[in-house]
Amino acid sequence: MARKLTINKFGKVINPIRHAIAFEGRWGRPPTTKTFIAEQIRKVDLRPVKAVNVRFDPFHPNAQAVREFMFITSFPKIRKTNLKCTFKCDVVNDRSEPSIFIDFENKQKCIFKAGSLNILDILQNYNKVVEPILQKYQEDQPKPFEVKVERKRRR
Amino acid sequence: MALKALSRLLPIRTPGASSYFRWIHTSSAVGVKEVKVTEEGDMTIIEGSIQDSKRKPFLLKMDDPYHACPMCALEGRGIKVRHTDVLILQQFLNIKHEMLPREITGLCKRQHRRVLSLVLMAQNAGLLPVNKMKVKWEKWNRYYDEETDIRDYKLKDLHHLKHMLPGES
Repeated sequence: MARKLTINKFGKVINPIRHAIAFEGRWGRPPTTKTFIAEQIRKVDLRPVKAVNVRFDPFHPNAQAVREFMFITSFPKIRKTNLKCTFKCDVVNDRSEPSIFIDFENKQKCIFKAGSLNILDILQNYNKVVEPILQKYQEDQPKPFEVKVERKRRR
Repeated sequence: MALKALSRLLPIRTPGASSYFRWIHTSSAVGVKEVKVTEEGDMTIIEGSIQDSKRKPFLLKMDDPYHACPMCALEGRGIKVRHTDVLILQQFLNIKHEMLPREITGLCKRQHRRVLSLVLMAQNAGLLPVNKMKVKWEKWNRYYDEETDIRDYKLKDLHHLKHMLPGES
């Protein structure tokens, strides 16, 4: 423990070394599932996405996770990232597995079969798939056109 | 805004424990999941599947026409539960190490009384944890001999399970 002692102008030590441990443990609350979902929602970006189609049966025992995904993507903060993206929802009566179909502008596709998936599992895997596509999308997109304004010369 | 909306989403539910009739599971009650990610060219499919436990081959088949309770079905097959069989007795207990009600466990009235006494014996022997404060003299464990136990009764007395007894004419 190499710690410098700082001395006051009166010759008094301001930060003395205390041998007893003042505090041990965690500041604040431990993270819950609520915080893990909130981290993932901040990352959600719809820029490279072309269309989102959702299909579920409301009588399926785990139809909740897909409905929550629709609820999250309908936040205005997330919708504003891509206004051209289309959303479509099909409600069926087949007792079929709830599923999400995502089409990217890169002609890639992504399918979630959410028969036994959580909302956290969907969002984590969605962000994993989108990250490399989004980096490529940002590079290909042309930079905003810079206009040079010529100032009028004053006489 | 997003955080306020999150309160509606919780608690997260998985298809699992509450839908079963009995509390003996093929997979664990929490639902051990495996998320599978497969890539086929431009397509990526993400799928989840609930895994079975490693102890599935050791599970007894409980397809009885008479719908006997789980402890009676064990005795019908000649399996005797003692107070040292902690892993069986553990399943009938609460988080506070108390006995669960009979409606959840599905035990009959007779076996419920027997399991409760076996749990007390295991707790006195120090095999199961206790939530209560102990008296000073109770720190020493007590051990029971199975043959001298009063609660142990013979299998022949179970008239309602005669059809399930092995090797009896």
